[in-house]
Amino acid sequence: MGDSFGDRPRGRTAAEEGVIRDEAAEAIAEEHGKLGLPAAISLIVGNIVGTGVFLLPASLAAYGTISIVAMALVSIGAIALAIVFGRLGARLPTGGGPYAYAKDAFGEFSGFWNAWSFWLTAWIGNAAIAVVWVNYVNYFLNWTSPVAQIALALVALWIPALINLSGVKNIGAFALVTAVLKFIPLIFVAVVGLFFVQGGNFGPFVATGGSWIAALSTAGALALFIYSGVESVTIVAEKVRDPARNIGKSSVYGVLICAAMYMLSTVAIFGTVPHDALVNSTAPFADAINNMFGGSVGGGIMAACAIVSGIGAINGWTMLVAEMPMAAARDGLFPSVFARESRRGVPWVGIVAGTALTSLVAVYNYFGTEDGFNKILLIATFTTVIPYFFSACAQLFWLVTGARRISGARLGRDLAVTAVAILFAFWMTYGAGMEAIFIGFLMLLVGIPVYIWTKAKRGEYGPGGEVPASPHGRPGR
Amino acid sequence: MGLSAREKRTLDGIADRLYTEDPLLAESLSSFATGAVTAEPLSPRRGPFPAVLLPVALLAAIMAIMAVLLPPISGTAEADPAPVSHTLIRG
Repeated sequence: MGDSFGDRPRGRTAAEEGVIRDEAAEAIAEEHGKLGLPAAISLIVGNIVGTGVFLLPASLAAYGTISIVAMALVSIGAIALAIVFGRLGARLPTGGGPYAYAKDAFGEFSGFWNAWSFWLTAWIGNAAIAVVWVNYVNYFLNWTSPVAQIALALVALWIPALINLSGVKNIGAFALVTAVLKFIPLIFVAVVGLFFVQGGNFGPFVATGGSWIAALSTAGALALFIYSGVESVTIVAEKVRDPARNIGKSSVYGVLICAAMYMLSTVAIFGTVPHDALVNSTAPFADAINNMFGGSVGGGIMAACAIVSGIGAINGWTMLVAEMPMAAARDGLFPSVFARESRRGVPWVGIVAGTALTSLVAVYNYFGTEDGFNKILLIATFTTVIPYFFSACAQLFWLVTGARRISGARLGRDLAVTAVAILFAFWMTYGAGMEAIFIGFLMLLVGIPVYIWTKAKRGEYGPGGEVPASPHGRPGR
Repeated sequence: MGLSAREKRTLDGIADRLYTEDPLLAESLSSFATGAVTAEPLSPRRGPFPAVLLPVALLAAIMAIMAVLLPPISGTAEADPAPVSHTLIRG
């Protein structure tokens, strides 16, 4: 490419040089349209911090301040997972992330199962965010009829879908803006709240009345999923500038930012809201602001923050809903229609199909039963874990086989980090609970006919897959 | 790890082009694979039980212990799946 910007080499015509210049310009424009490090970090932060964080301190308070220790343990596991994703992303900077890693290490079927699992968790999980988002919007609107709430839920889902359809640059910009906007009040509570902490508010170390081990384990299980989305940038690796470098950096920085925010805000809220009030709180961040400054303005501020946070998270997850199947479809391991890209370079079929499916689940919440809706959401819980576990195991596989590129102390360090990530993913599996594992596993089995269908359509096996005779009569086979 | 038919077809296409463009080079390269292939050989760089596999065995043991001990310790997984309230599927 260098010669396209220098003196014209001898023998090259002006027309040829023009073509080369155009190609160089396209390459630069393409790079320019990709996600840089800040946008990649925003994508991770935006996907990790959705709407669940706004209730988390109240849920954890029921177990006592030991839940802060549990959160610290979970954070260590998530950081290990982020480091592993960074290593894998540097080794294999291709789209699909966990799908690509599992396929590379364990073969096509494992890759497919990860893609299928992630695809399920991505679009089902978006329905959960949308439903909670509607509740926060109704703090201001108070639209209580099911039809009005469905309309709001569809707004929450299709505005991010339209942003996704408009191109990667807009997705990144929206992720950056919403991440900053959502973090300002959260960080405010986390940092300023520390100055208002009163020791008497913290409550007992173990509030359950049982053993500290049980409380630690249960509180940990409750917090295990707060880092879901740590894999986000690996999935869109092809849309990240300098992926071998930026995937690792953004994954680790993104998780560290979230860990700092989670830990500080939990400590601040535990210390500013009396324990008994916090356990029963439906808006712990708002209660913390009100306790710090008096009045009742906190509710409105935090509802607005949750609205921005929720729609930002849906924007990022909508991108993943389409990117993961696109990577698998390119390899012939997902229906080929998912590989179609629009003129703006986005997998429009995956975006539209994923958002349509999410819309159906969201509509079901308002016209079906709440129990049925929660059952559907359980699928997303277990299927979240599968890509984490396989990815961490893929890293272990590469470390203990001849494909590794490191040895000695670095090998020992990477083995230790990978082992922590695997145990963390294993703990997450346990934390999903029996019912989630049961329903989730059934949905994994549903994927097998899909795998057979894609293989058969591709003419992989049988007479249609026989290697044709060489047209040139090539010998030696 | 066996190649899929699609991958074989792709390799065949590459080989055909090579034969067309440079037969001598193609003949030279094909001489490396004239014998019968019975199995994909693994790298012989390490002994029968490399030390690096010890952490793997240890990890498997820890996972087995966790699988047995976690449910009786916390009980969450056997009772109502508390951690999966829909607001906490994602942070």
